[in-house]
Order: sequence, then structure tokens, then C-alpha cells
Amino acid sequence: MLTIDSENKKSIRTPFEVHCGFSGRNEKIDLTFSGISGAVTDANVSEALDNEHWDMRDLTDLSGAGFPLDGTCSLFDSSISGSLENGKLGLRSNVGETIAITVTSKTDIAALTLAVTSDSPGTISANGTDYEARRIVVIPVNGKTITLSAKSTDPESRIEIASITPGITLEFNNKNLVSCTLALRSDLSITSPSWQVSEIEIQAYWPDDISEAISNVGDDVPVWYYAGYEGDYSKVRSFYLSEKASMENNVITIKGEDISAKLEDKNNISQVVNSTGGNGRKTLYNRFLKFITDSGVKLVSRETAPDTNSNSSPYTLIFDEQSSREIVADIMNLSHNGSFWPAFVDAGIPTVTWSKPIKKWDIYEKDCGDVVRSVERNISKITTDADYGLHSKAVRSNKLETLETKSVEAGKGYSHSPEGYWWYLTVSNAKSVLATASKIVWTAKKTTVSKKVKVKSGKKYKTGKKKGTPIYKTVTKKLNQCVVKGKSVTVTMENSSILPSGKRPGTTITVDPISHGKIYGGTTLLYPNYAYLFNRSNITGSFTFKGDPRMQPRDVFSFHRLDGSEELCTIETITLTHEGGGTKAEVTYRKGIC
Amino acid sequence: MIYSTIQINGKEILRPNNFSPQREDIYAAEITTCTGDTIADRIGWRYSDMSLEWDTLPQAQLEILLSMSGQSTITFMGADGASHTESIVRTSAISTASRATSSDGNPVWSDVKVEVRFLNAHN
Repeated sequence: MLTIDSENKKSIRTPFEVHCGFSGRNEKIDLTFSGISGAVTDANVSEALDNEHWDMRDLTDLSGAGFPLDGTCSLFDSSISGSLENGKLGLRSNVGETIAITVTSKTDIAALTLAVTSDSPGTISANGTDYEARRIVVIPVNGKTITLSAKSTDPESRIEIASITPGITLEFNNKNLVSCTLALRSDLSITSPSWQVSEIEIQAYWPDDISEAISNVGDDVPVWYYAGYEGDYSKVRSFYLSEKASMENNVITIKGEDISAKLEDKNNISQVVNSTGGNGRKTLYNRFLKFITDSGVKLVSRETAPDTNSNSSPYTLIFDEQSSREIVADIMNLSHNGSFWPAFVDAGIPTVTWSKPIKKWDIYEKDCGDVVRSVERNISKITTDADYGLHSKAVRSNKLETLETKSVEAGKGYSHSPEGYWWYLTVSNAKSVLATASKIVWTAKKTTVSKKVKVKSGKKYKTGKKKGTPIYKTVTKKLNQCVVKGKSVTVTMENSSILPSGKRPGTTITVDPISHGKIYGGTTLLYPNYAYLFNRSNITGSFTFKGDPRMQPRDVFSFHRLDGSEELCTIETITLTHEGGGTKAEVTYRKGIC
Repeated sequence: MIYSTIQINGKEILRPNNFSPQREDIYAAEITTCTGDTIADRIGWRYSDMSLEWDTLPQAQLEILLSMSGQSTITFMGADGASHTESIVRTSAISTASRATSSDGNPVWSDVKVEVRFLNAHN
């Protein structure tokens, strides 16, 4: 069996088998099937045929292609309904006959996708056009109903159709791929992360003209990819259609991006993170995870949060209003310390970890071309113009202050934006309350009313029967007002610039902090710690090599240099290109574990 | 099995001198490493470009060569004893050194030469 590792050791490698495609099945549409003739099918035909996940049941074929005598085939039994457990009959033609079937949908559909499982050649006809019965056949519909006919061109064989589903599902492999390029990205820049989404572009030959139907495939349709050798494939990468798919001269072009694109769309309210020295790592990691998952990213895997300890020193951190992408990039840039190394890597396999990565690959310089090594200027000073500086101290007050009293109407929305930052904000007579670090929004429950009530005047009767009892007076009082109260956070600047511990020449960089205050891990400043940037290598590089579909951005590799030395480096980006039947990759990296 | 002739576009012509098509590998994604080595994926093989040469060729057979335009086919018996048909294109003009007249009165051309490129790739 060929394996990626053994083949990658060779100068002349067997080409990878590349598999990719997109699943444009329209989940909102249910198909019904009628007028079936010339074939056997499941009793629950609508459920069975409109389902691409059930396997075809192996049947003893007494008049067609025969069957192996190994007990794997069962006798045809029409009483068994198709199901995930039982498999299904699908649509199997009688020998020498043509299948006729009418497919109907309640709403217009652009196209149908047929999965053909029989090996013998055949044709499928619809709307006066003949399509060769390949494994996947896409038939344009542009309407609510269509009648299909399918037959095997070999009169002794059957044609077998496993599924008929609404929408377009395409699969490509080495036989029809023109090119498949993956730009897998992370960002290891020292100062301002300019992390971009990862992308895939597929160009593939398709014999039938489906240009109109394919142009109507909606956004967010899954685009998938894997490569390797039979028995040793890379993990499946999932992307989502980012631009309109197109077809020109029988070449389909599909462009997708990874789900990390959703981080840009999610704007987070300013918020306060309260932690202690003992739970700082866990708190920061869980908030990091939440920023990612709240954006709509479905993770393939996540590492369990780090343990806590009994250190109870309180710390407060405030995030200003930012997109998830900016916050996630900032946390990855400014909190890697010791074994705590929060990282989010997508590139089609979205994964969140907090443990410091270890070496995963060995790459030899002698196997690489276009080797470039560059050195950026050292950072000699980090500075900012921000009001609260680079590092600031945020102290929580436990005094509950009344911030505003408001007359309201029931059901109406109100907001209050007090000066400064507040770690606790509350409001009475309210529902649907949303509190940020500097604003509270709510809907009033009851309308404010004025009512005359008796209240103590503060005086007492001096004579008569009531002598000594309080004197009451009648006043007009507002009831059901909304009272906003809060507990403040006082932020004070600690420094607006920092220098490395030993003086060194270099450049001054200016940053724009997105948070105030701190999170500690034990007695160590965890985030935001700009001093980590002084420790990051200023050596970067790039090279071209044969490529490995399993590699991910942020993977750590040992770079074996020509002079025999060895250095650990972290992959920043990989551009993996499958073209002309071959594969190669361009890699950019930064020295060290980043 | 006929080893004395080949066919071009289905028409028989004398087998060229030392006619022995050689296979060469086809590579994709070639990289020249920093040490000058080549790293690539071998995606298949094809027959190498070759020169077809004849000491003499009758006028009628020369016309078969002259009629090669664009993509043509060549059929020959290989060393494996099987007949092979490949697509080729002519990559040079047809050169010939001299003309003579044979005993039957027809012209005969000597030292005929033409370059061809094989187009088909095989796994």
C-alpha cells in the first residue's frame, strides 16, 4: 500500500489521488417520485431515493450481472423498506428495459443529481437531452417536474440509480480535475495580525453543460477536499462556496473559503472578563473558544480547558467592541506562554487547542526549492497612543451605584451608557436586558405612573392622643420607574511603551490594544503580554517542496538545513497546488514555535 | 505481424531506419531543489520525440508524409509484439537529399527525414 510518508521520501513520487467536490443538495426541498416503470424500487421510494446516505443493498442477481457466492448478497424482497440499516434497492432496471420515472418538487429546482452505481455503460435522458450515465449525473430542471428515462446500453446489464436528490452535488478526482489550489493560512506576524481566511479553488472538466444550474448554487454550500493514497488519505477539509460557481468551455470553477470567515461577521459587545490567578488560563481559553463558536464556527475538535488552582487573586479584563477575528488573533498573538498556547487553526479542519505544539514534521532543505530566508528588523520598543496604554490595571468596585432613574412606558426599549467601564450593570422593572461593559439595553415591563401616597414627614405629634406617633404627609410619587445601577471598573494606565530586558538595536512598533486590564495565569501575566513579542524570532522564510495534504498552518516542523543544523519552525501559510496531475506546495514559516 | 512497414494515417509506408520508439516518463509539479536535484510526481509515460529516417522512399510514400497535417496517427509493431497506434504531429519540414528514377519510371527520394512528436500519455 502506498503511504504519503513513504512516497514523500522519494524524489519521483506517485501522484496523489485528489478528491474534491461540492454538495449543493437543497435541504429544504422534498422530492416525490411517480410513474415508475421498468425497474424495481423501495416501497418507501420517496424516502429512499431522495437520500444519498443509505447504501445500496447487495442482491442476488439471477438474470443480470450475476452475484458472488460468498453470502454477501441477499434475495430480492420487496417487503423490506429502505433504511440506513437495511440499505435500499434504489432504482434498478429490469434487464433490457428502460426506466421511466417522474420527479416532482413543490417549488422550482435548478437541477437534480443522480448517483449511478452500476458499472456498465448507460444513458439517462431528460428534456430531449441524453447524458452519459457516469457515477454522478447532474440534470438541469429549472421547474417543478421532470421525467427521466434511464437505460443500460448493454442489453444484458441493468442500470442502477442509488439516489435522485435536489440540487447539484459534484465529485472530482484525478480524471477530471484541471487544478485544485488550496491557500491554507494562519498569521504569525509579530505586531498586527493580518490573518486571512483559507481558500480553495477547484477547476474541473465536466462533459455536460450545467452552466446555468451551477451558477444558481447558493452561498455556504459545502466544498470538500482530501488527498493521499488509498488507505492513507488526509483528513477531509471543509470549505464553503464563497463566489458564484461558474462553467466555461466545460470547465467548472468553484471557489470556497473556510468557516473562519464567519469570525469577521461577528461583532462582539464590549465585555468584562473576571478571573483569578487560579482560573485565568481556563477563563481566557473558554472565552477564546466562545468568541469562535459564537461566530458560528463548528469545530472539528477542541482541547479540554486547562485545570485551575486555588490562587484567588482577582483580575479584570475589558474587551472593547471588536470583531471575533480581531480578538481571536490578538489572544493568539499576546498570550502564548509556557505550556499555555491557545490557537485556532481552520484551513478546513477547524480546531482549537491550548497546549504548546510540538514538532510534527521533518522537512529537509535539500528536498526544497526556492529557499528564501529573511530577517526582519528586531523590535527594540513597543509603544501605543491609546488612552489606557499598553498595559493597564482594571480594579473592580463592589459599591452598587445608582446611575439613572427613568420614567418609562411598558414594552418600549431603553438604553443607558454610563461613563467609564462597568463590570456589573442592572436595571429594575425591565426585561430582555443586555449589559455590556459600558452600556445597558432593556425593555420596560410596566409603565411609570404617578400616585399619591402617604409618607412619614419626619415629625411626631407633640400633644393629644397621638402624641409621640409619626406625622404622615401626602406626596405624589412615581412608581414603576427603571433604575439603572452598576458596579464600576476603574482602569488606570500602567505603561504606554515597553523595552526588551537587554538593550538591542531595532525598530519601534506602534500597536493599538483592544483590551484593558489583565488576565493572570498564577503569578504570570497571561494576556495581554506584549513582552512576548520580544521573544518571537524575527527570522522568516519560504520554500517550495513536494507538498503534503495533511499539513496545517501553525504546525511545527524541524527544518534540516544543508549544513547539518536543525531548527524548529512554525508554518504560517501553505499554498498546495494540484495541477497537471502533480502536487507541490509553497510554504512560508517563522523560526521557532510561534 | 509485420515489422517491415508502419502506417501513417492508416496508409502503409516502409519502416524507418532503426525505428525503435523509446518511452520517457512524464513528470508534473517539478521542483529543482537548492542542490540542483529534481523532485517531481511521475504522472505517466509517452513515446519520446523522434526522427523518422529512410534511405530511400518512393514518391507515393513520400506523399503520405507530405499529407501529414496537424494531428496524425502512426501505427507500428512494438518490441512487445503488439500493434500500437499513437497520435503524432510533424514538428519539422520533410528533408530529402536527392531524387532518382526507379526502374519502373517512378521517382524515388533518398535520405528522407522528418521529426515527429508523440502526443498520447499513458499511465
